[in-house]
Amino acid sequence: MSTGSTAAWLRRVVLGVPYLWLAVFFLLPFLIVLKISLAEAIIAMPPYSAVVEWAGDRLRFTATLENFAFLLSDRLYGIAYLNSLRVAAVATFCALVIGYPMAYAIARAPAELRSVLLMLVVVPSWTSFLIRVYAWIGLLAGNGHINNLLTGLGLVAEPLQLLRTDFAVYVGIVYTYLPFMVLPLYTSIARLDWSLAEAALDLGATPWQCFRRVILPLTRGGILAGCLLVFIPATGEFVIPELLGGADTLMIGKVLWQEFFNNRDWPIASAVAIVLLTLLLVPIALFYRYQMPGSSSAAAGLLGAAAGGEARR
Amino acid sequence: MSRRWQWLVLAGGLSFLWLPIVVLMVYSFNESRLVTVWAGFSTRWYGELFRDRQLIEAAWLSLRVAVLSASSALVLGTMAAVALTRYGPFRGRAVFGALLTAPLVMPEIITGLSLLLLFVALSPFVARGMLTLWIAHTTFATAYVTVVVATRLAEFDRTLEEAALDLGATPFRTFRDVTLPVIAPALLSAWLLAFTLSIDDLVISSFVTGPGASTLPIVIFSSVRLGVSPKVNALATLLVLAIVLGAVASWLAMRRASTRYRAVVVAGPK
Amino acid sequence: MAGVARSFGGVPAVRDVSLDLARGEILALLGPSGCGKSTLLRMVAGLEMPDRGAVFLDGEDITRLPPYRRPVNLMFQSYALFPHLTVAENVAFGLRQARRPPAEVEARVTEMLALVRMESFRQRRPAQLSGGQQQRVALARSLARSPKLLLLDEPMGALDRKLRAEMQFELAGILRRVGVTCMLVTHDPEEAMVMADRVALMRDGELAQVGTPAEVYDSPRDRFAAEFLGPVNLFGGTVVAGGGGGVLTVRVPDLGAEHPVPAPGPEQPGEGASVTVAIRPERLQLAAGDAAARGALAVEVAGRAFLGTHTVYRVRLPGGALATVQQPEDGSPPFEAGRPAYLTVDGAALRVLAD
Repeated sequence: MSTGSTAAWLRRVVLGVPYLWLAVFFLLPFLIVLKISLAEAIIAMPPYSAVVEWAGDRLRFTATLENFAFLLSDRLYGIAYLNSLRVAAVATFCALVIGYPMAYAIARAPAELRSVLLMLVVVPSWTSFLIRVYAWIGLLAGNGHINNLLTGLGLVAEPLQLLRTDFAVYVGIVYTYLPFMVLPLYTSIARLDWSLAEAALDLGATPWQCFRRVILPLTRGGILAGCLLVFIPATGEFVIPELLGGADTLMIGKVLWQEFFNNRDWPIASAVAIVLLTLLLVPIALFYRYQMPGSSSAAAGLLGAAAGGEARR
Repeated sequence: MSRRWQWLVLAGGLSFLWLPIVVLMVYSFNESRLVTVWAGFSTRWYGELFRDRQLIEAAWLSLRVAVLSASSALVLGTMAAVALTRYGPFRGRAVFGALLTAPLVMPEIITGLSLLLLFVALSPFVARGMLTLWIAHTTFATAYVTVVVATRLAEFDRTLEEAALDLGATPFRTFRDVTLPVIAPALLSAWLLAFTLSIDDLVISSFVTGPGASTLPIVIFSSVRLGVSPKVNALATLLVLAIVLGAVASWLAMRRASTRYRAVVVAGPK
Repeated sequence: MAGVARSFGGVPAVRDVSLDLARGEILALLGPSGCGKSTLLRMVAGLEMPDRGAVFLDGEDITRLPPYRRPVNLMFQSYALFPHLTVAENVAFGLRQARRPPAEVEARVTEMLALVRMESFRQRRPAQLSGGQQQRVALARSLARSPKLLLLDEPMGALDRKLRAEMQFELAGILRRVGVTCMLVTHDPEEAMVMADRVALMRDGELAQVGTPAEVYDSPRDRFAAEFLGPVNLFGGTVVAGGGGGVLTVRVPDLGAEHPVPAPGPEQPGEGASVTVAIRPERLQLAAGDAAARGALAVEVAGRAFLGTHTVYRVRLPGGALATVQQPEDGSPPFEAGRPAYLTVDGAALRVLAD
């Protein structure tokens, strides 16, 4: 409906302002990262060489792929990338195995309990991420609660090395990202038409067959959304490996942080970011492709979905 | 899965989520400097917490940045959501949609790095500190606000807006008098979500902040890196309590409203 | 409305419709779902723009006016009551948009709520009202601005069957009392006939027939109109003579006789042409044996259904075809299935259909 010039003007503002904001503060920064990944590190401020230069009468491009070549030549980076993908994949799988039964149990709980249970899953994720990771330091440390308990019960003679291990990183990722797994799963399980499951049982399927052949395929969307919502951020995770992992826990988020803040090698840090983004392109594209109507809102609206959505129903 | 198994799984999962937080809170009342050895009840760490100038200043900065960026993200995100759900197909819609949701899936470390590099490029005009924190937080919070508001707008009964137009309301007044009041609860939760995300952010803030502008997570992180400290336990306890109380209060309010509504519907008018 | 057309993604929803309404008239747009009647209504309301054609109101072209500048109001099928406003605020909404003085708004709201007998519900929210009450509030809200034309989209669509029958009469009563010109959309022929002065039957985005309910029901122009308005018997026939005064003589083998029948339109089928002849089941009558003398057909009763006010029979005609007969229930003994009976045809009710 084109209704006069004021309306058209208003429309342009409503669309233009957020568009412009995102173009300047989200798209443009990526182009800069791309540009700097093609530059050389120099000791200056900012610490990188110019890629595009005005050389008197013409533009001069001095791009180099050296940074990327360096990432390939130093095995450390390759190991860090593979390690990140592996840790993220294993943690995602663990979160799925823990999260699916939880989501299922919540969806099958009496209606008046459902919103309480959902709140109990969601509220920890509203409390500070950092503090939840910090809580595990106290639990896992050599003189921490778990070791105190184990030695107190006489189950182990010496305190176990739990903190600063890969195990601690897994626990940390599963713990902090579990709500992101449970919510989309819950949404898709709650939407399920249960008469289909009943029909399967009626047609002679055992409960396990019914689950595997009917319920699991029908909740595939939720599974995919939950897994991607855990896998993608876990791959680039920095805080958890930094606080819970050991010195030998190589994860690419940590490497990028060190290149940037400790080595002040901005071009290498940019190249690391570009490669990480390329690696995540497939899962991110998958996320966009199969985004169910409720899944991204489950992620974004942890708050709205749990509190508002349930009350509205 | 039998009923009993379901409850067992749920109890296990929920204690996994809550036990670490509860232990953390309990030990904030520990007398000893050692966080993990109980040495009697005390509130001394709370006293020390409130005497820590650095922490108080950081908390104040975080609070201001969170209020500012949640508010601006609410405006930007609502505009974007309106454009996405109400404007039909327009040129560049796909790019717009992708740009809007990209911060949801982008690893923070990449967003942080890229924003900092932008601010460095703009350094003659942009001083790093509260301004850059605000811009960065607004950018990622806008994505979350957009999704929450767009979801609500998509399920919004379009005929309400048509009815308002039909009754003589201009598009602007339709939005102000009908759309806005109806989606107000979603706007409130979007704002709260943006606030929570902003006050919690560590990675992006660490990249984009400047000298002297340390947010609460940055200060906590640098102290936690050096080891556990009962003061952080005390601070964490206060934060968790604030969030749990806020969540319970809003949940109760919403539940009361909805049960009152249901009671009326069931009982019917006289 | 003149030559209005609108398509969605290349699929025409409304093509070339022209229609006039007299002041104070209630017109029903009747048709199956997807025939374009709602699109037509929305174009009049300004919620859709026609691709072609124009909409006039009192001689003024309002085709390009946005909905909020048109003196036309629409009552939505879902009622679209604002959930965050009370009943009184809903009714006042349009008046407040027009920035009328508060005292006038107040008086008008009271008047409107009295009209629909909802005065005691002023402070309720829409969610606290029953379907019928919501409908009345929606009506009051649409009438509050005294529109020159009131549009009603499936006004009974959201009500259950029993309430529907009551509300049809009540709603029509209110509309007549107010004297507002109305255009209503419905897929229910009964609703159209109860409420409207005139019925415009639509099919595939075009007008099939326009006329009073009695005209459209008794003299359907074509097969679609005949079947849409209610049960009908159709028989093949041959024109024997194209008589003068628009009357044809048609031989209908199934009915075993030649009948004078009004011609369907200006272009009359010539002699020898095959035509379809229609007659409503209530214009056929069954009688016991003694009626045979008066030119009745001997038929066999094939089936019977008792429906309270009347009984519907399926009868086999001499030629083997089946016909439906609707017999008023007057206490006489029913005709048993499998037994012979005699069928009388009300010749004056026969109609030749176009095509």
